[in-house]
Amino acid sequence: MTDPQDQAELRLRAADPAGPARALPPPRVERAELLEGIMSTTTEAPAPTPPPKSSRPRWLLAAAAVIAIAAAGTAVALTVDSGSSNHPVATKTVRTLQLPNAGRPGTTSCIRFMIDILREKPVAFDGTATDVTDSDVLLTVNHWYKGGSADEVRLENYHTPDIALEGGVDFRVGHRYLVTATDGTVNVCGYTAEWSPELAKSFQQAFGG
Amino acid sequence: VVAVTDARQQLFEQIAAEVADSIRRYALRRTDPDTADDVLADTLLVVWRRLDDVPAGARLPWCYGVAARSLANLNRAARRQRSLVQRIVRIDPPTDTVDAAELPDPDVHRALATLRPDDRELLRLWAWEDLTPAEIAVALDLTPNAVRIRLHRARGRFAEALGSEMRDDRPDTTE
Repeated sequence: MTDPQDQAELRLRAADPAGPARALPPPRVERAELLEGIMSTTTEAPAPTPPPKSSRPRWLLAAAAVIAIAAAGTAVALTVDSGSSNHPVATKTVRTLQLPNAGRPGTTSCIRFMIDILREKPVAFDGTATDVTDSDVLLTVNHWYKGGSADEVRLENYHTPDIALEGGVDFRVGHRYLVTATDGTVNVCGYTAEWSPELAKSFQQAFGG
Repeated sequence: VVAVTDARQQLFEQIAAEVADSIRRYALRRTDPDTADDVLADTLLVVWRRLDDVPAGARLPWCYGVAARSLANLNRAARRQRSLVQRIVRIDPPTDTVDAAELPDPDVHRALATLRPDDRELLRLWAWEDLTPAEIAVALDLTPNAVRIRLHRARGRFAEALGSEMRDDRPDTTE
């Protein structure tokens, strides 16, 4: 084999950084778990966007968001702005959101945090925890980025000991949080977390203020 | 409905078993392990959602096309995040994220890096993913004929680039 082009191509093939002969790094999520998570998502496209012709599949990101939600073990429940009807003197509106169920088997993996996924969350706000019990967290809203106007938000289904869930949040009275929700359920996996300048910047970038 | 669901799941699992390792290797050749896992998850999710669109005779090349778009999205998002969060004002050419010196046969990787992205991708799909021109055509949404012509030229350019890398190595080996 003397032809320089053949030589070059032999070397090219041999220089494959992930060829069949090379050991690969262990995956973050076991294969069976990944497939299960995917098959538990709906096969309906979540956004009304038509399938892409070629270049920029926005729905792919939406789809990735669905994975994140599904993988986090989301329970779906929705209660909207309860409070005003039963309390004639109430001046504060309270909205209720559910925290996801922790510890559902095979569903505790997160995909990477991305602004594009954050942007597609329908509900987003900045709030300070004013009351934390065994089952609920009450947040006073400092700022609504998107999808709401209530003065306070109650997060139900809070289990303090279960925050081992990857990407889960530990709520404490007096601490400030950035929260997103989809279908009435709080998103974890980094899409809800204690306030930080970096995350606030991401929220601003995603929701424009 | 249950039978349909079972059939869907079965088909999906079959395709996943067929393509998942190759997609992961494809992604690992082009990005870091963490992003590679995201690419695999994105790609399989698209397979699940568009099960009927996956061409029976060209499943893997079709999936490479999906993986390429996922990777482009992830890289774009990562670049945006970097530039906005850290306010780094610099031109960051989207070349390989891996350091050539750490890879097998660094000259080959340096030579690849000097090529145009289109040529580089053709060569990788051909040499590393081991696709035929017809399969590359599915992955890149080109005609097989166009692939053949471009691949022929890319191979020539690569051989030249590798030759020049080796000449650069020779005169001064102390560095």
